[in-house]
Amino acid sequence: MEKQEYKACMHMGKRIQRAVCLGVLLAMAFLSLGPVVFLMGGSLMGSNEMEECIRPVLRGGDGYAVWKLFPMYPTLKHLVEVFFDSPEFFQMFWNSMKITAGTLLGQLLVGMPSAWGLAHYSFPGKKAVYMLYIVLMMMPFQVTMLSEYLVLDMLGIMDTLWAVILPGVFSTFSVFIMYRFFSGIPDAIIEAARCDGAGEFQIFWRMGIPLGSSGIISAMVLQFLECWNLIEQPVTFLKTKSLWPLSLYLPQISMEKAGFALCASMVTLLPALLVFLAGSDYLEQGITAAAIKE
Amino acid sequence: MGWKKYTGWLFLLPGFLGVSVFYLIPFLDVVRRSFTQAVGGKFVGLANYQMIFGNQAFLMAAKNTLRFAAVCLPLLLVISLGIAVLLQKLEAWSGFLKGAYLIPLAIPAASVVLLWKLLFDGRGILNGILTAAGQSGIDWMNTGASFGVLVFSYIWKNLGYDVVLWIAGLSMVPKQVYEAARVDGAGEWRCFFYITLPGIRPAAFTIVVISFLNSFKVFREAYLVAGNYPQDDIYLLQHLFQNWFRELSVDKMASGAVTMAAVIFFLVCLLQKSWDQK
Amino acid sequence: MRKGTRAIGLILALALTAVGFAGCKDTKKDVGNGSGGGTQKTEGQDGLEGSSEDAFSDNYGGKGRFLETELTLPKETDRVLAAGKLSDGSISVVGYNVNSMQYYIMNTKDLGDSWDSKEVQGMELFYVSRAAIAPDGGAVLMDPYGEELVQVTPEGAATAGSLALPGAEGEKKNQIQQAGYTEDGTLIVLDIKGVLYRADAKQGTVEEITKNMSEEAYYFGIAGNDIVTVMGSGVYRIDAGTGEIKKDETLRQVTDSSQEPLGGENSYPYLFTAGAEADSTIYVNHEGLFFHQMGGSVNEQLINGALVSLGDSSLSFQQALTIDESTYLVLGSDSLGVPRLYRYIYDSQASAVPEKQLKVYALEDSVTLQQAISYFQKQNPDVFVKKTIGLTDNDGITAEDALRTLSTDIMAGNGPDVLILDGIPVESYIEKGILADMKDLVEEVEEEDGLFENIKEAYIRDGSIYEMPSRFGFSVVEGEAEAVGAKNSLEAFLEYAKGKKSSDPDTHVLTPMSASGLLHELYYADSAGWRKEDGSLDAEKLEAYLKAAKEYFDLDTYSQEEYNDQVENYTFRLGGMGGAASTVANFRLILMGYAGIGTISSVRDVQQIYATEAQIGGAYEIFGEADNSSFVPYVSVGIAAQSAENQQARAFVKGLLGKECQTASSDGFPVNRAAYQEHLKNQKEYAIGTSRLDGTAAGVDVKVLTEEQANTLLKQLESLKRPILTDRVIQELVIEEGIKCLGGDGTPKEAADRIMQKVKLYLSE
Repeated sequence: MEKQEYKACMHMGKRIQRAVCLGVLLAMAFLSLGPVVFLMGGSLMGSNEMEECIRPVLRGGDGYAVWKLFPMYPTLKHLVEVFFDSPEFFQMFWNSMKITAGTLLGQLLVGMPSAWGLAHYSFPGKKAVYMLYIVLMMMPFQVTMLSEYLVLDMLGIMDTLWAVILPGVFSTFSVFIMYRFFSGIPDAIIEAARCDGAGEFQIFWRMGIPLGSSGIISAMVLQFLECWNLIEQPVTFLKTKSLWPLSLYLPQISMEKAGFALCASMVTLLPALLVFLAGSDYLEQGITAAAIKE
Repeated sequence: MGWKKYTGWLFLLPGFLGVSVFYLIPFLDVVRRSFTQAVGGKFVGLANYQMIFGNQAFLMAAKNTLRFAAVCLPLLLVISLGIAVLLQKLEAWSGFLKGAYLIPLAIPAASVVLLWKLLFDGRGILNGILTAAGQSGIDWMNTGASFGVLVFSYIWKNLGYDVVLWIAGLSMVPKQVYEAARVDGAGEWRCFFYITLPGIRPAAFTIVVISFLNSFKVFREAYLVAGNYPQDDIYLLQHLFQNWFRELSVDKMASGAVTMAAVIFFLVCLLQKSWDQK
Repeated sequence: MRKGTRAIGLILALALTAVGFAGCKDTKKDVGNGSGGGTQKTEGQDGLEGSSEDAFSDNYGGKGRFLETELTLPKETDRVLAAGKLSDGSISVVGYNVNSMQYYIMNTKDLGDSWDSKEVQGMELFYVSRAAIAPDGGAVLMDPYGEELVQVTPEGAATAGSLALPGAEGEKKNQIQQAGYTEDGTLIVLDIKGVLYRADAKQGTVEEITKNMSEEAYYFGIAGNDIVTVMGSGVYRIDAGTGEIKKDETLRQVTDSSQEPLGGENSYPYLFTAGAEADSTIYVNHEGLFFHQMGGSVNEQLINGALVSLGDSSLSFQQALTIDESTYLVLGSDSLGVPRLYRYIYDSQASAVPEKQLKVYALEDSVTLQQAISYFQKQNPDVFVKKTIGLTDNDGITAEDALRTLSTDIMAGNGPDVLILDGIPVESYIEKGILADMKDLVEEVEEEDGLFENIKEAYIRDGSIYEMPSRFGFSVVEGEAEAVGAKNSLEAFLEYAKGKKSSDPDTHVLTPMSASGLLHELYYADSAGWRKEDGSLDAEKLEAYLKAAKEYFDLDTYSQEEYNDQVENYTFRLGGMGGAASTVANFRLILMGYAGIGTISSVRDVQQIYATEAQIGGAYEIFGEADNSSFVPYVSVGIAAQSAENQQARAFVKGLLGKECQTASSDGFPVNRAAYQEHLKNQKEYAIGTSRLDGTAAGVDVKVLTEEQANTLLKQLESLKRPILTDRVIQELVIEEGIKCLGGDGTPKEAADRIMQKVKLYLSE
């Protein structure tokens, strides 16, 4: 009721202002969505048309590359090629799946309790661990690449999918996100449960996880995107090409096969997009929660 | 029950062990290497550090990396905050818009790279549009413009993420405060400066940390688009580390990495301090 | 509460261990079946133990083992369609050449050491997807539907035909999956529905072998007059004549552990063939080669896959042949589809398991390296040579990625013993102490056979030799006298070309080249002098080079027709020997161009140039500054410092530089003088025939070099002073920007500036 009244009060100037706002926001949204439309258009475009469009980039010479939002002669050829004529695509797709699933499961198993421990207990060294986690989280991969290789080699898991999965499992980023969320659960509730005689593990299991579920899911969604797009780690730790994930398939396609590349991109993007859309509500809540405290 | 205070450690322990094995120990190893010879492991004290601080490429890469963070962080924070504020006012459309802004996050780096190549090539789409509009084209990847391209791709990718974070922060500011202020006759801007900004300060820490973290990830696009020797302005520390590693200059790489880590640590501490104080 | 916390710890600990264990198990499985690769796995373990011996130490030390030799198929073979053992004991192979689109039947009487290759005549242009070799030496080649088919008699005469394959479903034609001949000469085909037929290629008829089979056959192998086929429930051996199934439970279960039941296009997870003894079967998979006696309850492993190439999971299997009980051949193709033919011969003196391993690394594979490995393997059957190639075509791995992987391996102590240094940052490796001094080794070879001292001298630094090319070539100007006179610099040469053009604007002055080809050739010719004293690059020289390349490229405009595939496909390997000078000679022969620049890399090149120029009145000379000419090094070798005392590594390098290996291929001039003499001695005379654009015939008889010509060549080889600029990063930057510049993007000055900016960055690292 209150809202309506407020709206009714708005006079003309406000209305225009609003329209301008909306315009700006929509323009930004278009910028964000543009590439997806671009990918879709490209993946349906035939090779000749594509060649026509991007020849200046490929071969130099006169003119400039152009782009059509909708192909003149749409074709599913590339899609068929990706799905039926590229066995390595599927191999790599499965590798990506394995890496992602392994990492996410592992994070649920170890990351979640870590975050809970950090969020709801005070213990000696907590502050130090927290800072350490943040700093390690910020470290670019290139910094510890060599030493990480040595550790993985020592563990005997070099050149297996575990060499990518295990470091992913212990990524401190998702701990950071989940920690933020768990912190949002009021201590009073937990204290109450404790008084009712619930064990520490029970509290975590019965209260922490359900109450923190959207934070957990949002951490998982973000981690999914991360895993799905891994590039440096698999290149460094996996020598056997049949173990490579999908994210390494795309850079291999040369510009000459742009149509195919765009189509493969599209197919690669789809799972990420689905997970993303399915989880976006949680993601939002999760991110929200992450921002609340401190 | 004296050890009860260690209960938290029990939750933390499995994760912490893994973190130690896969991140902490490797990092300590890097620290060790920064004081030794590349091959053979002879202790050389601070010689490696001396070497890198006299190294043109390192200074340039460090400068570029800092400059990049210094330019893109405030830019991203301001733009995303602006959008968040507008979105909050708008209500309608906001679900769709938030979703749309988040999408770039899901697009694989390799696809982005393909796109960038088509867009920013000397004969790319963007220059096509520019020339059609009567302007002369810009050699995006081979002039200072490359830095702009990199900043753009960073903002493009992280905008939605930060918008959602800000909206979360904004929702923490009680509505009643605004209403009270309005009753007192405060305008939009006054409200923003005196209520909104202080209100979202707690959320800002996380947002800054995460945005900073993501600023390192832009290397992927830079490397895939422009290779290991890009235009001077977008030659980042990670380029240099990779190249050093190729040449087996592990000593330089390690001391460079430790320096970088120290700076990050310092910045994060500073950030936290400033938040704690206020 | 205590209980609670303890429980948490326990559960988490258990969970963690469970994950760990599950991980280990899974991983092994992954690697064993279909990925990873046995040999790679071995390497991983080496790293753990820190020495290569350990991996094998728990094996018993018996004697006798099958040793592998990779056979070199004739050069024109891009694809192998079938192989077969003939009744006379020789072996034939059906091959295909992509460029000429020709099919060949190649026969070897000495188990693959030499081949005799015959083009399949009278082939209409159709896509051959299946082929089979008959025991009498004939063959059959057919399209996927059996509609088009060519039958070749042992004498080589071909007749066209067609098979009437039943089972078409409306528009959808039935297809042939696989074909093979039994020992008595019956053609067996398998359609995609899994039905086996006896076929008569002459009559075009087929006859179902096993009527009313409940299962479909996935693929098959021929064992004498039986068919060994894989079906859903296992492996069956079927009499090809009667269709009777011979029951054998052990054989049936062979494929039980396999995860991929189906075969692919000419590739199968298991290969089957007859054993040397009656009623026995041989099968091959990545675990090795196995023997099974019908009715027996065991499968005996004759060859352990992990010790030979069979264990390499990137190898896909095509066909296995049993020659006798101590000789087997396995045909397959690698991950890039390149055919690989391996021969296994039992050596009773070799220890049952090679005790030692020698790791050899190269960014790119080369014939020279392959030959050095097989030479070494022959001399040292006790050592397993593990070759790692960093860069394989078409998989998106850049040299950068490959080198970083190499760096990690070296830092982790898993590095190679012998490195082929082409494309590797040698300077940096020497500086870091990665490479060992091998001066004594090089001098040993020098004493035995003699080396080109000028080449050796170029690699002595501070009295040590860390790097030594095994082959080399050099850049020449080739053409009419006036052109050859302008050999001293790019500018002089272009001056000549422009003068020629202005006097006769309608002719083609220079032989055609692709942008990449031209940039490479000129780089070979010019780059030796680019480095300044202080190590930086000379910007003026770089710009002059780009300007020259651009002018050269723009001087003549060749029509699409003239600018034929040969030019378009003129590609380079990293520092590789293009043999481009003979291409120039070819163009000169058809009167396209008065002059050209190219690299000479073999005596054969020189023969051809002399023959051509004798006909049209021209000559050739070393290109570049008169007293400071450069050479292009190829397959440079170095020994890792950590293997400096490793006798195997030393023996390998000695072998590579030694007379026998150096004589074996002509992929560049040998640095070994004795081998060079052999090359001179082995010259062959042959004729080249081609046609000009106007349709008239052109041809030349290539002769053995006269003594005078040979002397001139020797003097030229001995006059080469310094290597070209071999730094891979710089070369790549130059070529990349050069191609853009030649394509019309910016001026040479702009390109040079861009290169200089990046090179400066690179050098300041």
